[in-house]
Amino acid sequence: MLTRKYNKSKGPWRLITWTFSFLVIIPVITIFSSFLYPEKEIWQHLVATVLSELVINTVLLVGGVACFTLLIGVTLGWFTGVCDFYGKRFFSWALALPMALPAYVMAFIFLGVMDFSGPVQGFIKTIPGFESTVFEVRSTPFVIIVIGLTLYPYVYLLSRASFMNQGRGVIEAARTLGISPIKAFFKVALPISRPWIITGLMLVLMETLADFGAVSVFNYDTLTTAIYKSWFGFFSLDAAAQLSSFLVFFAFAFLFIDAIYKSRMRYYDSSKGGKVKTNIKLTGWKSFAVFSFCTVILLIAFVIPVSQLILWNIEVITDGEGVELFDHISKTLLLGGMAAVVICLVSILLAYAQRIDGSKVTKILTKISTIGYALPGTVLAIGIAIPVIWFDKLIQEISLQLFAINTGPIIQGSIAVMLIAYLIRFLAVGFGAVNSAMQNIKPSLDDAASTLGKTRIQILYKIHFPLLQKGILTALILALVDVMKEMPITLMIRPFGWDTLAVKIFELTSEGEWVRAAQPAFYLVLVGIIPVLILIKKMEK
Amino acid sequence: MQNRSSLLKVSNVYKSYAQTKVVKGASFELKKGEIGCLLGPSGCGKTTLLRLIAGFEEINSGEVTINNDLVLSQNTFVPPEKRKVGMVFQDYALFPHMTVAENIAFGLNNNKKGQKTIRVNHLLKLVGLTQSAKAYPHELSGGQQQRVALARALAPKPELLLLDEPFSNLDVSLRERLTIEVRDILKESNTTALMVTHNQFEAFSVADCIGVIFDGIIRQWDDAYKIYHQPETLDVATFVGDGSIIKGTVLAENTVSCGLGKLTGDLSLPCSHGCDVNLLVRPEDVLHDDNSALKARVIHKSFRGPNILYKLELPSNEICHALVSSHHNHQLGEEIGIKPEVDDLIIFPV
Repeated sequence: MLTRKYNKSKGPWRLITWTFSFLVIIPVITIFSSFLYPEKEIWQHLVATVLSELVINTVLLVGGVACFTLLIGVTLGWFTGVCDFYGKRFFSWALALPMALPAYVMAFIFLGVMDFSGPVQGFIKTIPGFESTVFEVRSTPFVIIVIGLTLYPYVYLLSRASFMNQGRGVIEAARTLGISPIKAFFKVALPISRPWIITGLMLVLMETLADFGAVSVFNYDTLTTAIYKSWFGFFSLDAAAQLSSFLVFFAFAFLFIDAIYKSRMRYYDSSKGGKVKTNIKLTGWKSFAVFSFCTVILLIAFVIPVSQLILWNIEVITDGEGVELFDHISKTLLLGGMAAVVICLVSILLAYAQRIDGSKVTKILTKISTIGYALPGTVLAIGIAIPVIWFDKLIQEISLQLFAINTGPIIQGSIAVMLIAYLIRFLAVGFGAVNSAMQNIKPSLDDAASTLGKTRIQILYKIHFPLLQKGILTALILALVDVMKEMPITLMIRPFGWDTLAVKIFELTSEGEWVRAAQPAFYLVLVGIIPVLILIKKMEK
Repeated sequence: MQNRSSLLKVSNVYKSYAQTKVVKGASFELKKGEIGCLLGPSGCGKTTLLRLIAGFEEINSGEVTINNDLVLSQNTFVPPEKRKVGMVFQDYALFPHMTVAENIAFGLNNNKKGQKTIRVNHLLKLVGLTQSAKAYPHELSGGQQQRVALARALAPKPELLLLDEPFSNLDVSLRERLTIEVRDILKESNTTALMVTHNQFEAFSVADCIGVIFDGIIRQWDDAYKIYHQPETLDVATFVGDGSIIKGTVLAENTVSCGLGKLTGDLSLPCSHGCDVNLLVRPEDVLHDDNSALKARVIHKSFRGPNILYKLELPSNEICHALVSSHHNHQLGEEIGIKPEVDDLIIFPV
């Protein structure tokens, strides 16, 4: 009798997961091992002068953004998730839109509008008695607000989903036990939502920690800008790596907290069973107050900045002072496209590895492969540049010794290195989309298809591919857009001539050319809206 | 005059959402210590009725009083936390971030910690979960979660306990055991309770009195015996138990002629001679007798262990059911002898 060997060898799949988790580990090890070869002079100089300021600035920024996004995100999540008020349906999705704005874009628009020479302070100076008033907007609170306005949607979306899933069941239960609605919110709804809120918050913190563009615009010195400067200013990779280790430490702390709360979600999920769909009705002044609050947030986080962006674009074009962007756009798309394809392929491989070899080791390795999102771009750039240079030198040495040929740098400054860096940083995005589609393909589907006489290839073609299609497409789009908006990695390790839109924005904003920077920024915001729309569509299901 | 002993009084309550009327003039009373039950198919308005008693809905007209305090009318709305009403939810709504003991203690506002602990321990013992005091809800089985929900609702000694389909998430065997357990616990703590269910057997085994609801109207408010044996409307008669309705004509004060022959017994409605009626026949009223002249054809049968429920076609082409000892195993299509034995003739106007 013919028996088909159903569970094929798992060896090759294991190799794949090992390879990609190793790829993520390399930069981390590189960063930490930099302490083995300390560059004493530069390091001592840093410690003596700016290090404490850098760390304090970074901690202030991260702490401030945490408070800001929690406050805004959770209250908005509560109102749109559980309450009924005028405009609720519109705000539910519209309040996610600020995600489309990269923080560095928001930052330069803010400065353009609010700085000394901007229209707001210009207007204030026309008011009698305020002629000589000057507001310093390049200060910590404003950096916090600007970054917070682009990142609060993470907390907003996750807390909203969690409040909605709770239904009103637990709140109602609390009320029949003699607890007032406000008390019930703090004693019941908020603690139950904590895992989701914290997960959203950790994403926000990782993004804040990684932010390079916005703080550069504000000239606000943090660890990320210091890493950039110590490489491009002092030409010291090792000092940059040592600074990076601080960031990696923070990032891993956030990852750890995130993992703890994620594991609790399952137990806190009270969405099973009958859900009560009725909402808390807000009427009169309460409804108006909530409506106004949502309107103000939406205005300052999205409507005003985007309108300003469009106005500046019109201004630049009508004045004929536009920048030639064709090359930047094509390079951005090309780089983003290549990276997206690579990320997608690796995501598919990893998703299959996990499906075929569902062992604990594979699961852990897959987790490790996707933690790159926690590594700030500047750190990743350093963590990759060092081994690449070392590898090139090794090859050069060998070929000189053996064949007396000077190869020069081989992989340094190549597209391949950039793609690897993007892969590490954005694999989680692609893998998440592909794997959630993969998990919908229950093993029983394969079994059912094979009892109906289909071969492995036919199953792959007729069952898996159609079911994975959507997930793969989502992965492609998300990865593409993320890479297009990416700034520090591209800036630090791009091959000569590969200037993307983000790089162009960096150049223009470092010269204070806000109006002209609006041109490349406009395209980025335009593509940045696509993933938000995908998210919103998912949210409405 | 107000009946002093009535704890819950619902009078002429109307409730509609947008255009749909969900509750159309419900009225009933529960005495202190009584267990009531609202029984009806899904979408009949019973859960809405329960939720407005709890304080989660407003009403269009009517009144609800708890312990003679007006809590709900067109102009009155006492919020749920002020009503001293406990509730057991269909999905239990246990707080996932608290232990069993913390869940039970949640509604207790005693400042003295010792008293709180005593009360919690008492309830843990009452529902048999002393061992699981420190467990979290997700570590418990469905039946245990249900008991925690009950203990939590009972802890603040509510004047009235509401139970919303409390057994619907449990498997059948557990359900039967728990219905009896819950009744015992409620009776032991002398709690007045109102339960909502679509399952008549739950209603029969838990409740002292049952209100059968259809289409937002309470059709009958009675004890289980009367609901089953003396249904007041055709809806109630067909919803509760496996009854069949056959046509008949009243011949005298106590006689009806129908497909089963001439039946004698007390008429449920006063009817004059010659009046056409619908007659309710319960399966246990139709006995199997091989010697009977009245024959009926078996068109369906379901084996139930001790007995068989036969679906029979009478000579009049009408359908009726007979519950027969399972030793009498007949084939489909066979003609079997039957003998009606009815004490009360439950009739409905045509």
